[in-house]
Amino acid sequence: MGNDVISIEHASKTFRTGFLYRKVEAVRDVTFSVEEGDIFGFLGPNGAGKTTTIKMLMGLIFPTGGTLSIFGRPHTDIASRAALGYAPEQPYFYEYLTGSEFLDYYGQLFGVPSAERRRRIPLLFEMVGLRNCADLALRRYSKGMLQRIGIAQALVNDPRLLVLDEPMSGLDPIGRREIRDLILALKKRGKTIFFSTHILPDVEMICDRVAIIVKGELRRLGRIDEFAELESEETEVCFRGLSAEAIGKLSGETGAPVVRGTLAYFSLPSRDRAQSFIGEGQAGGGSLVSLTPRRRSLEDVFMSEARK
Amino acid sequence: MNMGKIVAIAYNTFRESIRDKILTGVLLFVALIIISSVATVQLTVGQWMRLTTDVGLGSISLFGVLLAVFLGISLVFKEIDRKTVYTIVSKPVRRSQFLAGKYIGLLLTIVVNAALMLLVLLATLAYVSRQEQNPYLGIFQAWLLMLSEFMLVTAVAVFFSTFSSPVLSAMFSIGIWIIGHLLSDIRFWGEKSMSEAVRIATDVIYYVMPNLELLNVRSRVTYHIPIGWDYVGWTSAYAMAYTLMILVAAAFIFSRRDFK
Repeated sequence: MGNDVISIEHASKTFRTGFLYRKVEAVRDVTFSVEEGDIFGFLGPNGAGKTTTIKMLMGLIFPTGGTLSIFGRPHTDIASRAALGYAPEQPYFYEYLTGSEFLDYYGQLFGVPSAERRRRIPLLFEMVGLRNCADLALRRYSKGMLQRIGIAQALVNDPRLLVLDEPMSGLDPIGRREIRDLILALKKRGKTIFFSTHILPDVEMICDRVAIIVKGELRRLGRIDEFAELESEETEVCFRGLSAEAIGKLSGETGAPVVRGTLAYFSLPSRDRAQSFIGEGQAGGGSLVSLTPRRRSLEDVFMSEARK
Repeated sequence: MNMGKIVAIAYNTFRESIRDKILTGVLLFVALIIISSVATVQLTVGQWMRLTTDVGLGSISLFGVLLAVFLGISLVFKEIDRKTVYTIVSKPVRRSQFLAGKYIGLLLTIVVNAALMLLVLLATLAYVSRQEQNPYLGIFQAWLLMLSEFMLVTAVAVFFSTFSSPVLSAMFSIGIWIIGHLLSDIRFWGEKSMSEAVRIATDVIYYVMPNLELLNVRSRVTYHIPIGWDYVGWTSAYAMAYTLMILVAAAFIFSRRDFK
């Protein structure tokens, strides 16, 4: 597609490990693309091949097969990285530098002019929530602060594409929320964000498209709302004041309900039956409290793929 | 090739070395050795100028080489071990630019250190010399040739560190440094050998390994034997050509390795 900022076709990576040089296939025939302006979640359990795929894309390791491109250029072409920001997992930076020295150094590597660096760096500290930390040596930064400065360094060239490897790891719930908001704010400014994670509620909340990788293979790919399993026929019906006899009669179809005080929650397998089921409940002396269509979460999809 | 990026990497490497306390320690230690030679010369009859020059140049050479080896081998290793290299080579920076920047920064550190050590030596000599004639020119020439040796040894250490562990890199680098100073002896043993294989092997070593003894003029300085500038120029050019070859090989290997 014309507006793909990342395109990965049949990428594979085999490592040789140990004394006997045993082959380990970390990534096998992975194909997907990321469109301009999207927030793309790259999901998978630990050791699934997420970081390996990202490292191939960043030119840190060389694929054993397939092609990868960024902005339509081969990923090995350093010009493809001019408008790209990358924050690795568990970042370790030059601990003898202060925060602003560090960002200034990285700005120079992108060829950002010094006047522009002086203007942009304080804004970056502000943006990632590290106000007043510019003159602090990186060795004094906490894990969460390093994660934030890791994102700040990825933004130092005002990139069009941001690749973040596990940006939420090491952050507390407040920090995670701030990063999530930052990602959404960057999308509003027209950036494309590709990030790997295993924190699924965040993904469901902010991602346009996701890919699920398990054991080196791409299992699912698409827009979250296109995942068929997320739509479910299951419907929860809650009555108040049903008699024991009526509960017994209704549960023949649904199985035993969850009873809390005067409330009884029934799980209907099909939505079509809801209307008549409500009628039967009301006839049994109950009053309808709620009717809730059940939706499976991305976590359910993820877990079922991971278990396969 | 964008020099701005190389300069930025070199400056950062230099800044790292300067903020590293080890260098200050080495500098203080060498200063202590040179100055303590003054105390020793008080106990000897005459020759104290010669002794101080010998001890001073020897210390600069030894500690310079040790710095070159140990900073050189940690150069690439530390960047990969701490994963800082990930954020550098994922930017529009060639791996060869990264290596060149690191090398230049490191060399600058070693040159600055060697210059400070030279100043300590010259100050000490100025103090002990009084009426004796000072071999300042010879000392300066010997120092320049030492820099060439540090340049070459650093390149060797960087070369090994692009594909091997720090311990092995240190062993290989020190091994090459020792062989480099014994090449004439090795060839002499080869010529005396009865075995054709040994003769061929020593010949190969003689022609492939850098002849570091060419860069050692310390004994000539100590005995006031003049050294021509043409000799300094040609041997420095020899070391430079060798260094360049090793760095090109290092960049070739570094550009092809995976950062797992």
